[in-house]
Amino acid sequence: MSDDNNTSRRNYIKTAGAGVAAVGIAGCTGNDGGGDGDGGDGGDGGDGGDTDTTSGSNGGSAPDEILIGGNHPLSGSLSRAGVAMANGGRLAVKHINDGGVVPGFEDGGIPALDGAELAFEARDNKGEQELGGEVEQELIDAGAKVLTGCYSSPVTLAATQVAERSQIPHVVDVSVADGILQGRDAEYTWRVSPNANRFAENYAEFMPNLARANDKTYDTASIVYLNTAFGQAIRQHLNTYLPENDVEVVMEDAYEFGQSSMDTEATKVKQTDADAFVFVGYAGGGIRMMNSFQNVNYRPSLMTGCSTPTYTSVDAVTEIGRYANGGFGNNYDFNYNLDWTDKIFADYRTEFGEPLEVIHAAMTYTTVVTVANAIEEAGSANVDDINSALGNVSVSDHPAAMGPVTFRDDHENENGMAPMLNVKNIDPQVVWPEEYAETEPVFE
Amino acid sequence: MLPLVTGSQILEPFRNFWTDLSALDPVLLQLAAFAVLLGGVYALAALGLTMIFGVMDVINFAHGMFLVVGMYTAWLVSSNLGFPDYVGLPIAIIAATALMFAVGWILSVLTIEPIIEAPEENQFIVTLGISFILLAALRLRFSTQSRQINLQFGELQIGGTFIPWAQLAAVGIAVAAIVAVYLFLQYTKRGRAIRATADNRDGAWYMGIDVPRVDHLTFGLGAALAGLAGASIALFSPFSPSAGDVYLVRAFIIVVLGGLGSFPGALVGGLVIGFIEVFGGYYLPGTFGDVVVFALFVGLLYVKPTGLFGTEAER
Repeated sequence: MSDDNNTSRRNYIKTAGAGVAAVGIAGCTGNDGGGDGDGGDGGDGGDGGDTDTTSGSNGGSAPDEILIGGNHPLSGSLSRAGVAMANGGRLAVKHINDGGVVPGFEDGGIPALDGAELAFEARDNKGEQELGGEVEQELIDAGAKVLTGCYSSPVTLAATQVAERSQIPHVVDVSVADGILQGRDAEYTWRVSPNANRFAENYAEFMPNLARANDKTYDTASIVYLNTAFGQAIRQHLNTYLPENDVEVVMEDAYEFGQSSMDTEATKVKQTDADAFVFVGYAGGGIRMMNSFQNVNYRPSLMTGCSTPTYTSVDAVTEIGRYANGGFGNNYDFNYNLDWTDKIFADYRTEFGEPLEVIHAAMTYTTVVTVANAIEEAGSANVDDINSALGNVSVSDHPAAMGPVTFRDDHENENGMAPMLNVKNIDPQVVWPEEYAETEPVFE
Repeated sequence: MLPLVTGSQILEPFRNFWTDLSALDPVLLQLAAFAVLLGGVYALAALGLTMIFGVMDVINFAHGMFLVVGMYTAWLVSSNLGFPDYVGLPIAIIAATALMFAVGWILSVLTIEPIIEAPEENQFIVTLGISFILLAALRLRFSTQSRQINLQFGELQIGGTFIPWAQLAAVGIAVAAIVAVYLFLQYTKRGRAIRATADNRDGAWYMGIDVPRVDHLTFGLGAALAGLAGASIALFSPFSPSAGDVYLVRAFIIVVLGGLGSFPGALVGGLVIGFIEVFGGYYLPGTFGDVVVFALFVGLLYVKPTGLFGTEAER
């Protein structure tokens, strides 16, 4: 990784925990021990009891550094995603601090705060709900002005409760459960990623249109969903939105997490033989489902998924193999038509010594860019000023495949979107909407 | 708010089943094939558990993780040997079985034997601890990413019924294992020692049988059967470090259903659960088939606690 002047100027030297050490990025979140960090209060020079550190552009002293806390699963079953998300956040911070990459931050740092730099500290929630709040509090105690995370919806729920109580803004990068914002009257919680409702809404609009635009029939659908709150929510929304797009749901079936075989579900889908099959669940279930389709010698006319990695994750489609080709799924992703995205992928490999293969990182990167814009708009590192600015911000320059990040009154991203991906040669690629399409769709 | 279930909703699955049966719908044959395949695998998964309990009176909560170690062993061996499948897979299955036998023996010596006479909660804590250690070790070594042995065996087609070769092979292994263990127990000196110990531990001591050694052998065999089951399941199903949970729960149900320590009971219990899961999954709404499985479990405990093939323990 580069060891430039910007890096050496950082004055916080916090231990980012075993999760950071494990991915071998020492030096990325701080200097290498020869610096001047005080190791204590998050670098704001305050006394630890007050998060108000600056009067911003009104003649007060600007802070040297503003800490963003990343509350992610850096170990445990969700660590592959969590580590990539934390790295995505770190990379965004580096790009903003170094300048020349993120529009609006060409000179490095936050212009309105005399070039004050961002810092990103990642801590490990292990994907466990009971640690969500604890890690959130640790990050707040470390001086974080803004928080992000947590990937797993139950963890995010726990974490944002602490953020609300502490009155520190938490900008959710990834967590799809509607309940994180809906019906909570949250003041300090915001969400960049699409929620479950938006996932289903996007799928129900995009997939039938995509199919019909390519002379395929999509009038009926069978749904197999994971029997959890997440799966049930997506299924419920699909039942709302698919009929609005002239699609009749003719069969639904649930499966349990870790179920040993999906042969029965595959038989049921085969018997129904709807125009499209819609899978809702995690990668393991998706892979089993595809195996079971092959067991009963069946391939749906349209093999699709909503809010599932089955057809959008390189790992999952590699496991499934050629049978996945022609499958469609929707998920948030990068906008691959930007040079910026190419740079993110290249720099990620340089910084972290491995390719970027987890698309959730797109959301964390975009979240950090959004936060930087809010700080710039606030002209202050005061948490209430940042929080107010988040309500007004509109960030059109970001690398995600979605419109400008702008928050509604309920703090959801107005333009949060999950485009359709299509598996071609065991590689998921964005194909719809057309403005974000990398390639033409193929129907196997 | 609980959703109200109407009478017609309760009756509809049965009506659908009756309609298919009356019409001799080929789907019934397909479902029956899957039920047998699933039941056979479940039976194999339960075999080691029932053996350890029958002889040692130890409820092994690490049994699910033993299966998973077998899965990973088979995957590692088959993907690194470079042999064609027909050579590599048998070696992988044997390796998984042998490794788990050794692991089981060592664990018995180090962890089970010292607490064999201790209260049951001690055994529960120790075997659960072993399970957690194995889970953490696998996650550390292999991450949580789903893995699978990529096989393209295809399916056997009989009429309109498809039978996946990989699952058929797993069931074949299950039947062979059951027969082999039965013959071992019936016709070998060590097998008789195991049966004697299972019947009466104190009596076995008095007859000169080295009971601790029998315990180690039993625990090793139980673990080996779990490893064999895991390797067999890995032939057709993707797995991750937490894959053992579902098999552990099913194995417990099967052992109780078939009768503690009963091999035929494990086979019949596995098939019963397989049929309920497959037909219940097809005809009943959502995952209601699981409710039937657990209802059967609880009901049997209430009506016949010894299980279908179990007998009252002699005091």
